[in-house]
Amino acid sequence: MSKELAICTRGLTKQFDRYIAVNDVDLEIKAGEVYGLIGPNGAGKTTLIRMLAAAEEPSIGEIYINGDRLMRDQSNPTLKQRLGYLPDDFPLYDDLTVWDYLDYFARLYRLREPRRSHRLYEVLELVQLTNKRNSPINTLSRGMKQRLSLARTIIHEPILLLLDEPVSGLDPIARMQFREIIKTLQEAGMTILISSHVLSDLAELCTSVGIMELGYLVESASLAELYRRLSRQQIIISTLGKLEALLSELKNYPLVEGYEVLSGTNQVRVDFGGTPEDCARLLRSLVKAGIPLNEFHCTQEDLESIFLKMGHKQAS
Amino acid sequence: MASNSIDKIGDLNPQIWREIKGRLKPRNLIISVAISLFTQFLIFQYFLTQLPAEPLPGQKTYPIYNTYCTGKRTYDYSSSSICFEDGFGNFIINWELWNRDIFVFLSWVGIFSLLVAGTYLLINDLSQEERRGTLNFIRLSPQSNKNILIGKILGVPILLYLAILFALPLHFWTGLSAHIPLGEILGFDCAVIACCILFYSTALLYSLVSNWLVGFQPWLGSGVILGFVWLNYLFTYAPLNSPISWLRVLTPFDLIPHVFKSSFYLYQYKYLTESPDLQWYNLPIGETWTILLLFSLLNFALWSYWIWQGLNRCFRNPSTTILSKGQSYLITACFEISLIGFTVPGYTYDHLSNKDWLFQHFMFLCSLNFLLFMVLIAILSPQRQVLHDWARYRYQNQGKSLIKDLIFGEKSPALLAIAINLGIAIAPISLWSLSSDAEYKYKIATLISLAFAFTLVMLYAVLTQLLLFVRIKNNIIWALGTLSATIFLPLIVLAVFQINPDKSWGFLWYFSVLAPIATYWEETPAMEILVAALGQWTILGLLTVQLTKKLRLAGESATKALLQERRALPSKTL
Repeated sequence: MSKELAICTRGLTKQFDRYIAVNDVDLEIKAGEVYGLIGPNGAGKTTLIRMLAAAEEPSIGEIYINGDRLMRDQSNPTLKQRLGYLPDDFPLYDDLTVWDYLDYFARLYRLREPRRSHRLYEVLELVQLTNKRNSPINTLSRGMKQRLSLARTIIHEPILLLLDEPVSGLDPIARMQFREIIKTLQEAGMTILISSHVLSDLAELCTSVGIMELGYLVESASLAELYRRLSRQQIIISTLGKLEALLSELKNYPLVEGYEVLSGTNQVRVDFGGTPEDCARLLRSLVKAGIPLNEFHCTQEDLESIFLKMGHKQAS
Repeated sequence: MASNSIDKIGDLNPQIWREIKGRLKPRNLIISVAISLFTQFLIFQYFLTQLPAEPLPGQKTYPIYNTYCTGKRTYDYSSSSICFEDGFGNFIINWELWNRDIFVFLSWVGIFSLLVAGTYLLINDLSQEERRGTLNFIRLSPQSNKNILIGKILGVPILLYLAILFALPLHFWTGLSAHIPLGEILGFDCAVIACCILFYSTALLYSLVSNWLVGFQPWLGSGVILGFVWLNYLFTYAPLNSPISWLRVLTPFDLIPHVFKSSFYLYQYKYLTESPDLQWYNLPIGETWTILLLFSLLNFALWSYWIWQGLNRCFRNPSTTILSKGQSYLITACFEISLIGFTVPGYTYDHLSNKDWLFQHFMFLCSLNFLLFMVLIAILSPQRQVLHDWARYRYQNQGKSLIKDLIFGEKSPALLAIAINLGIAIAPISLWSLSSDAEYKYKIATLISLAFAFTLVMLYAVLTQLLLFVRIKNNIIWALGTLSATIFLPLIVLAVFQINPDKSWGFLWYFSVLAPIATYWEETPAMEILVAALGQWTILGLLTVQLTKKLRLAGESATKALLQERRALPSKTL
């Protein structure tokens, strides 16, 4: 098994009665990647992540973490040292303070003083909870609890993070803070598998994406590859003049594959089949035609559009 | 200083550190110490009221009798003695007996609170962690099972330990005042600690595997422990050298130093002095207190070892069976060796006939073995999902024979393993009864009884496995309910209608848990026994066929099931 692969599964299957939650999944995630797992509810994302975290026994199949076989028994304590798992319900101990909670997990992962205290301060700063270190956990807000859970997940400096819907239920500011933390962790070299319904977040964070449906991993590719294959180039154009004039010009331009007038505005979204040079030519021809443009910018279809285009119904 | 020590403990065992941090808070500490001191105060006050009191002025002065006086006893087995006064007009008190009684009473309270409250706390804590999902994080850590679970045992009941710690001065003071050697007091304390390890480990194992009981889990667990400890306390009155003694040595009541010399056991003391000491394979383990202590410690260690085998398996993977099939054969062998050891020395009464002697021993042996097999069925029967996976994906383990898989496999059904365990249990009992000096016909009756016992347990095992495999919500509760109904309903019918085996409807005995006993009924016609045996085997056969069918069906691939459904559709519509 290649050491370059942080995660590698072979024929991973989990069956509950007749219902196959995860079906013959061969997942490969390279070290250092941020891998986004998307799919509708019930697609098998949580079950897959639970199996990768050794919290669920596979019906059949094998899991390799950095080339070593992961088993759900006492074996491989060093392998478990490399994993950090954050489930979607992030359970905590309400009877402990923030510091004691992290101190407990640091001890479980055999961190010794003075390294332990140093690491505790480090992660508290990262998740912006330094000023709350002596507060009882039951006094924290949901966002703080979420960040504390993430701090617990990374306290032992794992090289592989498994995050199951870590931003669900968070307000936009808390989500943004969470995104920033993930980016810092990625820069620190961690491999991160993250499942989420918030595709805009994933598009910002991930280097690769896997799509699950009905227990199957139906797509697994780098984000760049996915955009290259499935994303169309779009141009947003606004005019101060009459919209009809702009539309008639667009109709006559051969590389324009289609357009959509954004309702209530003088704005048009154009599906464009050409290169960036062709874009520049289109702009020149519209200006020459005397259309008073006040906006012209190239964009790409986002992850959500690609996902929907593939026939999946993603709840976001 | 204290904080430094806790910190050092935390480096050795983070789990104890976590429990101490969560529990040792000033308010909890005060409550725990206050309860301990108040309980001791109440006990002390109670025993003060038991001392003889001066008659009130003007009251007629009859001779005063009291347990703690030093005069002549009212009659032989009475606990009351006549009271004398010294030159100053104070009663002469047997302070040694008074202190001994406080010591014994305190020991009972200690045993009950440690075993019952301690198990409750542990079950409640671990089941909460499992339900919340925090236990998964601990499982994922590189700490060993042993470290985590020892941390739980030492840390979760820490407030209870503190309360006991504050009662130790009174424990030692009364013990030494009663002239009990310090060695015996410390030996007893060791036995209590060993017993706590056994009970607490059992509690942890129970909480890991009984999550389906949800909030009822700790109440049921500690309730059963309370019942068992109370029963064992009552067993201290039971005759020695019967299989019941196997249960007696699972709690340290008999090891309370000088328990038989305390006033609570005056009658028992008289009775016991006329009885032989407790024996195990004719070894006089009850001859001295020290030998009994060593035997008990070994016994606690043996069963704790088996419980830890289960804990090691279930802590990381609660969906697995508690013991492997291979381990179950060894545990049955251990149980039989240990149990029959108490049976061999013979009954202590001389007036029992051969038949009664065999019958009484056999009844206890069967009852305890029945309990063992009910536990084994629960331990070895794989859960629905595990069995499903076995049926569906067994083909991928090519080269492994089915028989070998059924005898030793991790996920296979437990029926053959239960049958082998039954063989291990029945073989020594048969040999023992055949080699006893009972009459020939009773030996035959014993063998027939054992055959019925075998079929009955197999019936219960198949029924349980079948019910565990049914796709219904809470199938464990359904399996437990149905099994209980199968065991107890015939008993209720037999009791309500007062049906004896020789009366009409007497055959019902053979379909109840009492079937092994019914064969001892002399008037039972041989034909009825034969027909009953045939009936039982037929039911067993039918249930096994049904289970096999269900397993085959579960083993089919989704495609095959789909194709079969499609083929069946046109014929249905016709």
